[in-house]
Amino acid sequence: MAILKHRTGLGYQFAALKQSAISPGEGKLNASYFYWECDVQPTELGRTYRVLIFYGGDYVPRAFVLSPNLQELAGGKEIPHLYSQEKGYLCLYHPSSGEWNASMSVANDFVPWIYMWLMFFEQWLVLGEWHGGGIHPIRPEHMTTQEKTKKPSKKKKTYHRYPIREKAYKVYENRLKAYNKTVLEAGDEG
Amino acid sequence: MTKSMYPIINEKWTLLREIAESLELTETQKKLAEERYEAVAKVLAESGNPLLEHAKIYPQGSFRLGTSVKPLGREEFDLDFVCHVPIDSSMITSKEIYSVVGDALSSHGTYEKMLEPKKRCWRLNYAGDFHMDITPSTIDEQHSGDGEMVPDKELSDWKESNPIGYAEWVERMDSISPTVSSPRMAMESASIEPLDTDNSNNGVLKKFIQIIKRNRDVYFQEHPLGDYAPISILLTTIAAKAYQMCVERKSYTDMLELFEDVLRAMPRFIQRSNEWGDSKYMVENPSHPKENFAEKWNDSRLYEDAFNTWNSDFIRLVRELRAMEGKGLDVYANKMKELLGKNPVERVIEVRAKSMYDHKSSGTLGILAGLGTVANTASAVTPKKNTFFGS
Repeated sequence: MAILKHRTGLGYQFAALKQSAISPGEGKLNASYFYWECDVQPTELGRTYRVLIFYGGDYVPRAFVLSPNLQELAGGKEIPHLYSQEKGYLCLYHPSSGEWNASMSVANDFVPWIYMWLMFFEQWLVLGEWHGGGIHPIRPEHMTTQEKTKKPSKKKKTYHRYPIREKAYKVYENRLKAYNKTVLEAGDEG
Repeated sequence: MTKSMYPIINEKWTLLREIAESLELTETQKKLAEERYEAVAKVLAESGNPLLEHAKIYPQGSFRLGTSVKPLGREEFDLDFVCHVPIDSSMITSKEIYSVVGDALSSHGTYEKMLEPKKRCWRLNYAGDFHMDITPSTIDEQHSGDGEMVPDKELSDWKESNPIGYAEWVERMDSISPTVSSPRMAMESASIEPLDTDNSNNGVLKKFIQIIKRNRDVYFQEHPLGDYAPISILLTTIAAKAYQMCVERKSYTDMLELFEDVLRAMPRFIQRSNEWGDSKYMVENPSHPKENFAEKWNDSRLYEDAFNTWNSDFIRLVRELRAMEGKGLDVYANKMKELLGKNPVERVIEVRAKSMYDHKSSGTLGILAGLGTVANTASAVTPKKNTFFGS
């Protein structure tokens, strides 16, 4: 058990990301979470995307696209499989299916999903159709009246106030600011 | 500089090649065309006319060469055939041989309704698949070997031709492989090789010809000089000559670099001479020096104008495509749509997307540093299964 905890702990996941050839970048490891920022070029013809990975105390990895702006690329169309259109927060696995568990590798499982998502995203930009498969959760407009009027369960309330996710959002905002600042500065020098 | 026999792995070229291939006749259509022309040959041989008893039908042009390209705006391919009647051209007029073939076809129940007379050939319409244009030919007693005589446009006389010799010439040009010089390729070939199943540079010229013909179709579709667009056999001939010259002189790091060079060299194989202040144009049939593929150009300067404007715009597009690096699939797709039209580009990307999804589902999709998402590569980082979620 001790070994398993070691293998999947924050430090181990962080080190693996650092070593992996498919997630070149940099990040910061804290006591309760880390973030890792890396360049992802999904295919030879693909753009190079700056992606932020956040991994916190809930052992659920999250990925945000810092640049380029996905909404701008989509030209106003709603992008499939995003938790947040504004933040470019990618939906990479089915949360309740056990596709992700804490013993898995962020570097070798989660990062490849980011590549694949971005590959299918660029194909979606060409075709207007998502070919990567996946599941859309039920949207309010598809719910029955009974479902709509049902009071939200306690469980759902806690989900909305999930502090780790709020932390992730905060890190996202900070990293986006920092990233845009470095891009601007690099632009000034050039 | 490392010389390598490996093909130049370049995704831009691979995508362009796949689009060109998607415009070809399908294997089913090819088989169907073969069955159909064999059936026509049988009907002619059994027509009862002794002239046709030993007549042979064989394909010529793009169908024979494997450079056919789906026409714009309609379903049917144009497939060209020769009905060779083994008789000296001095023994019969071109009008007579034209009628003999037409009569034999129109008196047959199946072909009667599909038959359409053209200037110097007979067309059989197979709706939804192709038309078969059948040009009668006789023996050219002046030309040793495989020379033939075909009716001229007005059916008033004979005109030299050599469809078999021409096809053999193009095949010879196509069999010259470009020399690839790429240090990167030599180093990475071990890991890259499995990505490309078609590990050969053969057929590069034929792919170039298809791209050239398709771009001609797209470019002139709504162009004021559309009526002066260069004909396929002229383009095929000068492209083959330009290709031969380029690959014999230089080695290439990138197939698109070779393609751009070929486009640049093409105009110099249109010979111009001045007679009494009048330009005369000549593109000689390499298998029959008397035939001039640029014959029409001597009627109007607009043929040359149309060619030049098309050629320089084409070169510009290819140069722009070559200069692009890591722009995003959608940006490349837009450039390729300019080159080859919207539909084939989207069709090929859809096929790729579906194949990637199948590989993802079967766990054979992985990530390779420097190449991104790849299928069937043992050294790639292959993740566990996932389902893209969320609205």
